[in-house]
Amino acid sequence: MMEVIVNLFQLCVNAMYFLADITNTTYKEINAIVFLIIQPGLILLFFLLWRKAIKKNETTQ
Amino acid sequence: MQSSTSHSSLRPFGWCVALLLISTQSWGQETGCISGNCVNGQGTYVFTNGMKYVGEWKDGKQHGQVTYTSADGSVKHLTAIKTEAKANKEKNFNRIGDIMGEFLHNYYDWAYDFLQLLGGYTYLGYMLVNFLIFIFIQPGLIILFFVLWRKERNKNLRGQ
Repeated sequence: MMEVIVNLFQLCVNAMYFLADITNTTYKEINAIVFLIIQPGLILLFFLLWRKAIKKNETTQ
Repeated sequence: MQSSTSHSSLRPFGWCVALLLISTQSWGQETGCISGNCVNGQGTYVFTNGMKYVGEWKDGKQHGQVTYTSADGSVKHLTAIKTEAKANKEKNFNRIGDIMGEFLHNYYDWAYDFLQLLGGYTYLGYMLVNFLIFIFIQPGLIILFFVLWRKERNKNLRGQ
């Protein structure tokens, strides 16, 4: 199990290096952009849209 | 009624026993930097979960070629993290801008330190905690809230 996780982790690291190369950024920068800005941003965006849709449903009923 | 009260009063005791059992897994096992230099140079570091990192260290972080060994010693991997040449090349090719680049580097370093701390605290290790948060939990939450939002939106459209 640990071996699978280590291999998958390494795959993700390689993917981030590839992404950093094609976007002319560094590994650290692309990591921070994808995992620390975009992903939490999407969570927040969809959470707020969901709450807004609930409120809209409540007012129309 | 009395039975349920006595069960709930035993719950903290049960948690204490569980935590004690988990913590005893690392008893008798030396943890921390067990040999060499784990700040700058070659060193061996053992985490409380038994995971051992052997290799080069720079500014207190794993650097270059590092060997990962699981607690039972059965899994060994040689993993290239980042060489000095690669780091310098990346620095030269930084196109985002110095201020933004510095902010992102500091943000990454802060997250790295936090995950190291969390990995040690939960006995899961840095790699597993990183994997769980960024590959499972965060994408899972994105999908969950997206599906919930679409569901509410469709319900709203049907109601109009």
